[in-house]
Amino acid sequence: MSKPVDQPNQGAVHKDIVDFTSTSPWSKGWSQFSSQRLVFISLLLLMMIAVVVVFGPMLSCYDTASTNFELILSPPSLSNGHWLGTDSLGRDLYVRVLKGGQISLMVGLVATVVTIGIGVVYGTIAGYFGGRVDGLMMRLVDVLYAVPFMFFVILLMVVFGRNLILIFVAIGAVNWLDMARIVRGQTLSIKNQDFIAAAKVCGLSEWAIIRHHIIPNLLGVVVVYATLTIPQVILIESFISFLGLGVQEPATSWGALVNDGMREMHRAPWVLIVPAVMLSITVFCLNIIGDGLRDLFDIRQANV
Amino acid sequence: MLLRYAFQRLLSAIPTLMVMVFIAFYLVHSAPGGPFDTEKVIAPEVRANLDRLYHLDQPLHKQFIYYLRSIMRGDLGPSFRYRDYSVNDLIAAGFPVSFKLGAAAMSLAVIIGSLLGMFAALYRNSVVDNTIQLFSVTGIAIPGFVIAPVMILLFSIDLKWLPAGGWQIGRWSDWVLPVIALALPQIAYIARLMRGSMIDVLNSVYIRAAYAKGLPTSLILRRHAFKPAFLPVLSYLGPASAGIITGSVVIEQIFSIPGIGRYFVQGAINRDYTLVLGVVVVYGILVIFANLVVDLLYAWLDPKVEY
Repeated sequence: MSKPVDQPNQGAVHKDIVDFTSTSPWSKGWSQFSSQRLVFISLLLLMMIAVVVVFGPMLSCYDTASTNFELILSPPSLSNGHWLGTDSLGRDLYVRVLKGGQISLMVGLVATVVTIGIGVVYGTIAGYFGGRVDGLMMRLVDVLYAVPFMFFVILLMVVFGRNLILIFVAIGAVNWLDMARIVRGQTLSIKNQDFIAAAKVCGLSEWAIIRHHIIPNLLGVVVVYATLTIPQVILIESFISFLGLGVQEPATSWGALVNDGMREMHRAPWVLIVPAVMLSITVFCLNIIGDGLRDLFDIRQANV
Repeated sequence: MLLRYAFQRLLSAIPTLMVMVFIAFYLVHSAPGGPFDTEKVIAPEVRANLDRLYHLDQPLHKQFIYYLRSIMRGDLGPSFRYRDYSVNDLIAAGFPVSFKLGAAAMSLAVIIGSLLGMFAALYRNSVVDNTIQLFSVTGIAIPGFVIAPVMILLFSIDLKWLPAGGWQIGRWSDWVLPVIALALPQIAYIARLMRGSMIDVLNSVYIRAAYAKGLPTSLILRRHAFKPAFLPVLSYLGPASAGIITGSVVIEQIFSIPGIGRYFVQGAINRDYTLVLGVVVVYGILVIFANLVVDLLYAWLDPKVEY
């Protein structure tokens, strides 16, 4: 391991344990390369999953709902067309997992848009107007942080019945706090820059400044945190569906499929494994991509 | 000073709790159907009597005031579904189990998570670090309700090492799988937080000074590096406790553990108003209390905090 020359006084005893300065160019280059490679692989994998989830069901001759009581819990096989086997009602698992994936991914995207919408508006207003408005709004966020929100999502689902639109709104209503904090922090640093002062001098109204100057400059941060929000949202949805409160049969999602699989796992482990693996890989890839983007843009969470 | 701060925070917890109860109360009561909608049709006179007994014939805001008054007295009311039991009875029976489970998971998460994070930071960019980082990204991606059945499949059904569920007094093997399933996502997250903050701390000047003085690494870690590096983890413990509580709702269901988490979903579906609200109140108090303890510890540990 080559040492940087400008650090001659490092204790020889523990230089192999703690590296005070930056790492050596080689290992740094390697770690950057390997982390980028991981991001790249994740991106490829995710794209593959998306393509398979969207177009895959068309390749099979089965659908999500039709049952076949001759073939209950049959193992994966190429010959009968049930490529991933069947579930406890003889429904084709391949089609169900992919259709469930469509719902999971869609919920991830739409609920993230809701989250961003609420978070950006709230955070920009708090950050831009500052002072007492800011204090009050962020105090509310602090209070809400202390509330175990999943409980309220569950109650909402029980009260208003299960439908997809409600899932979007409920998750968005729960999840905007982080986004609001981050956006507020970013707005605080933008609003003191010269071009905002220039815009004020030009006589632009405050709303025009927010719309044309603040929000466009938030885009980078928002995009990065949106990619980190999607996996969270997918997990929340699958948690709710796992409890049997999410999407309704015959529609399904990965969380609901994991729940189905758990009931049959002692007889037919594949019914559990397939949706569990799909869900985990998707969330894993999304997290890696989000982290990679954050490192790329070098954004730290603008917390407190 | 610290005491006054604690008192202030305790006071400010009351409105938070009130807001939670208020939202939960109106949500539960606006659900279609009621607790006495069963297959069997109840005679209208009986129904009217039942409604009167439980104040269900009153307007909603009056019911809310009744409910608030009875909570103030520490009475969570009778359960609508579990006849002959009050919500206090049900929660008193289930809470110790849930609490032990959650506390065990939390302790495991903090200890293992911060140790892993510390090692990853110490041996940065080595095989150890990469393994720990891979573990923590994977752990964050796999939710508890996925890891739990997979572990049952592996350790209970295939290897037959551990029971697949149940909760018998004095049988430690019942604890292993649920506690791990509950703790794993938190371990992963804490390890990651700890790694980041420990790297920052190890790069700071005073740690270099400690090395220059010739202190051994273990002493530097214990005396100088651990406390500041632990602070971000500490501030995460509030959300972590909320996460563990939410997780316990499914974990208790999967492992059929007689805690209070299972009452929540079942109670909500059965329109057992008082039971659901009781669970919300207990968990709300718990989360608020956890946040309070975290803030106090933070104020105590970090000399920069003013209160």
